[in-house]
Amino acid sequence: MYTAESVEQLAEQFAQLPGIGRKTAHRLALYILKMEREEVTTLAQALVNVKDKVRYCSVCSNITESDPCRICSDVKRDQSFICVVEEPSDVLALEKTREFRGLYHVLGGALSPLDGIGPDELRVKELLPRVSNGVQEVILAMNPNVEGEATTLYLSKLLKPFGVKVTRIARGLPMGSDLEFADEATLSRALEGRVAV
Amino acid sequence: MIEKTDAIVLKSMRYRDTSKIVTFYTRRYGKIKAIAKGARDSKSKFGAALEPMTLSSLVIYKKEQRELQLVSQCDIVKPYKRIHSEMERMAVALSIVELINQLTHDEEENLALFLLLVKTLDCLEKSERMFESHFFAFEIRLALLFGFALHLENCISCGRKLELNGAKTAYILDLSKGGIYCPTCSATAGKLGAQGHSQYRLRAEAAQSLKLLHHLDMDNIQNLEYTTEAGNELNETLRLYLQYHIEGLKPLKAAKVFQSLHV
Ligand SMILES: [Zn+2]
Ligand SMILES: [Zn+2]
Repeated sequence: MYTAESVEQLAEQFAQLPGIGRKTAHRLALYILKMEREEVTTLAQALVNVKDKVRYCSVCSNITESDPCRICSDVKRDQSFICVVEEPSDVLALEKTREFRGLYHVLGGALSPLDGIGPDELRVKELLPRVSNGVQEVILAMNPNVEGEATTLYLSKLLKPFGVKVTRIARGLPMGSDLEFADEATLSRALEGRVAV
Repeated sequence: MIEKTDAIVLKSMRYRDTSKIVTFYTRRYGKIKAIAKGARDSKSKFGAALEPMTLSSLVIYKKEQRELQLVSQCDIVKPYKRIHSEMERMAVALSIVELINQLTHDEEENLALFLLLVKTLDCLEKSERMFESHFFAFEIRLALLFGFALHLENCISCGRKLELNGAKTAYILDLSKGGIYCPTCSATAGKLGAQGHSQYRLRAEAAQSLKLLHHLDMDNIQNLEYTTEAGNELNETLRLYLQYHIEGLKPLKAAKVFQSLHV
């Protein structure tokens, strides 16, 4: 191979990232080589900062640099609603809608029986004391798949004794899709989740 | 080559940014793994057709000597809605698909196994009660297909017809022979217990239920009644029986997770 070992090493690291194939990894490595040293240092520092500074919020388990996180410590947010999600990226997606003004709880995944992932691998225990603390409604916002469904079924049973209202987000048709192309499962769930107009 | 076949989805794994790697048990080719590109995108044409425990009509680009095929199209034939929305049904169905995934090798066609899988999910979906029975009935029929059928009509030692009644009687099931001893032979066999690490004690109710699970038409399995204790006994017996005959069979992850839920 007529190339520098360091370039190869860097390309190999890039290739481990999601969505990056061998070719792209190589192109990125060569691009880094052309960058100013200062820029590269900034990039490297940013990578290290993510690992050093980011931790999990002790209340909602979202990723944060300050504990409690900004959402949990915001007094303007409605403390009586908790929206349970699988991953920090789901909080980001829901925040973009600006619809929800309550608090979150991030499980760090979903129940995945086929992979042996049960409630002990998720932050379920941490949810319970929060629910008993004057919360009106818990909204379950899991992914629309078997793992998300198993998690929703489990949490709704688990939360029943707390006497709190438990809801799930409607499983409807994805926006921009045609009704006629929807499969039976999606369409029947869209009917189930109908609301008054 | 473009191939079309019906398939039950056994497993669906996230792959790269928006894709999935899906394991199917197909009617025509047995187990197949394939990539479904863009399947996690909300605009994906696959919808819920790639979710485990779904019967789908699958179109794949199939190449020989390729481990991972490419899903071209996949449409739902049966969504098994109740299996997907009730915990107890889901526990049974996931245990079944996990067991099939563990037992089968890629591209070994087995039509009988495919039909058994579909029939079991059909019955589980329709059933109103005793969901676990469908798992037991599946295991019993699986043993038959894999060549170690249980024989529950006659005593495996003297050949006398087995009555399997008498609440207090315990019978001995011989795991290696796949049969039960009558009370008389059980007494003798029990004394010979030293040679018998393949012998397993079964109370009359469990032995009787085992026989009925074996002989009842699958559509009628939900009507079979037995106590929780007998259910636990059946579960343990069949697990040991499959483990005895299938080398390297691992405990089912799904079964363990559902046990840990306690709700
Ligand atoms: Zn927080
Ligand atoms: Zn006998």
